[in-house]
Amino acid sequence: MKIIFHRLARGIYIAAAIAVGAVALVPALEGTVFANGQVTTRSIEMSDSSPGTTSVTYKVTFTPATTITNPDVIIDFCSNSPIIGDSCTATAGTDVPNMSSASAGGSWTLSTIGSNRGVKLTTSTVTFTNGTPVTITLTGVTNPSNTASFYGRILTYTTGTAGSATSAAPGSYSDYGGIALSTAHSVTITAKVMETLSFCVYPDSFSCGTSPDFTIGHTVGGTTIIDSSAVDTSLTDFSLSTNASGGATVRLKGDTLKFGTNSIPAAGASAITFTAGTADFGVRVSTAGSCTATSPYDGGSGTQYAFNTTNTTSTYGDGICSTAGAVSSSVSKLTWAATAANTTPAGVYTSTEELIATGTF
Amino acid sequence: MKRVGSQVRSVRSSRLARLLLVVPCILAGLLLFFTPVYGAELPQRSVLISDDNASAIATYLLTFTIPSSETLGSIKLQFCSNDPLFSDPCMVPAGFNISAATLSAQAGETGFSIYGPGTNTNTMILSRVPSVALAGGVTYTFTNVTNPSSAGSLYARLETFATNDASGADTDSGGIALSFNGQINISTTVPPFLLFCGGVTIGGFDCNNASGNYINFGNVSSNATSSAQSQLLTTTNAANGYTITVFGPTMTSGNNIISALVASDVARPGTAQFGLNLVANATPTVGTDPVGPGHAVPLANYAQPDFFRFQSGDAIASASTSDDYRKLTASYIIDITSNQPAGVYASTLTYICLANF
Repeated sequence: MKIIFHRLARGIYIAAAIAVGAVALVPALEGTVFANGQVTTRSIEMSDSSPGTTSVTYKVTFTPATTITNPDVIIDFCSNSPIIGDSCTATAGTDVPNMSSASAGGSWTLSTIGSNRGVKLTTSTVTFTNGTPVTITLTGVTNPSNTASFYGRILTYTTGTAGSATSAAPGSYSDYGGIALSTAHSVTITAKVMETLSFCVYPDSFSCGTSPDFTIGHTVGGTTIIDSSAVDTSLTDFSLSTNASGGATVRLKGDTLKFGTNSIPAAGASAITFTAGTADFGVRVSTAGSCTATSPYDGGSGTQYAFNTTNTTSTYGDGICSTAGAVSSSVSKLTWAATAANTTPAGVYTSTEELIATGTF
Repeated sequence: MKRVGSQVRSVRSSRLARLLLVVPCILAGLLLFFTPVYGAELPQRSVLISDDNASAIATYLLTFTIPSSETLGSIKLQFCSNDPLFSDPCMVPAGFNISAATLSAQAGETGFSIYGPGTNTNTMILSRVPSVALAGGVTYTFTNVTNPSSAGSLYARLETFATNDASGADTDSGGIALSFNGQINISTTVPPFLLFCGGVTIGGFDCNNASGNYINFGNVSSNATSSAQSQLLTTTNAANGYTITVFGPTMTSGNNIISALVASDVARPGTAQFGLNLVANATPTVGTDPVGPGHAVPLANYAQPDFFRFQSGDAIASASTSDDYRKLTASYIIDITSNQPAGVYASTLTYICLANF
C-alpha cells in the first residue's frame, strides 16, 4: 500500500513537473510562432555581378513551405551570416546591396529595411502555395562595392505581420532560408588583331614572287622595239590585302622611258589617247579589283593613258588607286603603253617604277 | 530562449550546418581578374614612304590623329619586323636604320625635336615640353631613313606620352603595317630608223603610195624646154640627219649626149641642157617646194627656182637632225640645140639617202 502511494505520488510529481514545465514553457512560447519550414529551391540571380554596379536586377526564387494568402516577405542582406536570427553586419552599398532605389515587379509593394540593406514586400493579391515556386524580381539594385561574398535571408510572414522585422530580429515568421551571393570582377576578354598590309607586284598571268620587270614593244628581228607603226602595251598585276579601316592607297613613283638625255614623252596629267607615231609613255588601271582607280589613271574616256611626271617624280609619287576600307586579296591590273615617233632617237630606253601601298589604320 | 526552428537550432553552432543552409545558390561572377586599362587607339594612322626598295634611303611621313585633348610630351615610333603588337618583343628589322633620320617637317602638334637618348636603330622618339595637345591630325616627316634590307612587311608601333621622354604609361597607341616591294624595271629599244623612197608620184607621206619610176619627156624640141618631175620621201631618227645624193649620167643616146648643166642656169631653149632642182619653178612651170612636217631642205645648187643643175654625185638635199616626213619634188628640164643628133636619149638617176646616226 505504501508503494502504491509512492508510485502514485511519483506519477503526481511527474505530472506536476510536466504541468510546471508546461506552464513555465508557456510564457516562453507565448510570443513565438513556430516556423513552418525552410523555403526550398531558393536562389537570388544577379543580372550583373560586378562590384558597385547600379541598376542590377535580383531575381529571387524560392519554394515556400507554407501556404499564405497575401504574405509579407522580408529579403534581408548581411555580410556575416545567412542564419536567421544572427546579427546582421551590413552597410548598404559597401558589403551588401543598396536597396534604396530598388523596386519590385508584379504586385508587390516594396519598402526598405535595415538602412536600405534589405526590403520588405507586401501584397494584396499574391498567394504563396506550399510547394509552388515563387519568383520575385527586384530591379534598381546597387551591388556592394566590395568584391566578396554576402548573404541573403528570406523570411515569409502572414499578412501584415512582418512589421519592422529584420532577419536579425525576425519576429514571428512562417518560412525562412539563407542564400550566399558574391560579387566578382567581370571577365574581360581581349584579342588583338594586328595590323596587316600585304602587297605584291608581278607580271600579268603570273603569281606573286615573279619579277615584275618587263620589256615593252613588238618583236622585229628578234628584238623588242617600239616604233611609229604601233602603240605597244604590257600588263602588270598587283594584289592587295589589308585590314586598314581607313583603306589603302597605291602610289606610282618613277619617270618616263629615257635613253641618256632622250626620253619618250610622258602622257601627262590628263588621260589621252595614244596614236601610233606620236611618241608617248603612260599607264592606266585597266582592272581595278577593289582598288578604285584615281584620275587620270582610270582610263579617262575609255582606254586612255596618263603619266603625270610632276607627281610621279615627287617625294611620294602619284596616287593611282585606293580602297575605301579593308580589302582581301584584291587583284588589279595596270596596262602600260608606249609608242615612238619617226624622230625618236634610236637607243635602249629604260625606266624604273615603284608601286607603293600605304594603309591608314 | 527564442525558438527559431528546430533545424536551425540544431545546426546553429556548426559551421558545417551553415554551409548546408547555403543551398542552393548561384555564385554570381566567376573569377577575380585584374582588368587592364588600355589607352585609346590613334586613328587615321599611317606611314607613307617615298621609296619602297630594300635598303633605299627614304623619307617617311608619319600621320595620325590625336583622338582627344591630352597632355603630349613625346611621341614614340618603333619599327619591328615581327608584328605591331605592343605585348610582343620587337625584333629589329634587318638593315633598317632610323637613328640618322632628320625631322624635316611637323604639323598639327609642333615643337618637337628628336630625343637622342631614346632614339636608336629602329626607334624614333620625338620630344617637347609637355603641353596640351588638341584633338586633330598631326604629321611628322623623317628624311634619311634606311629601309630594311629585304622586301616584305614591316610594322610600326606608335605611342604618345605625357612625359617628354616616352617614359611611363603611354596615353594612346596604335600599330601600323608597311610593305616593301621593290621596283619594276621597264625597257624597250627604239631602233635606228630611215625611211626613203622615190617615185614619179608619192601620195601623202606614205611610201606605200609611191608609183612610177619612168619619165617620158616625149619629143624634145630646140624651140621649147621639156620638163618633168618625180618625188622623194624621207624621214629618219638619225640624230645627225641625212643627205640625199643623186648619181647617174646625163641624157645619152649612143655616143651622143645632151650636155648636163654643170653650173646652175636657167632653161634656154636651143641650148643643150639637162638639169634639175628641188623647188617650184615658173620657167618652165614645173615642180613644188618641199612639203611635210620635216625640215629637210634642198642644197644651194638645187634650191633656186628656175635655175637647174646636174652633176652626178651632187648632194641635192639634207637635214641636219632627225627629221619627220619630208617630200621633195625633183623638177627636170631638157633643152637641145637645133642640130642635136636624133635618137632616143635616156638616163637612169639613182638617189641615195645617207642617214647620219
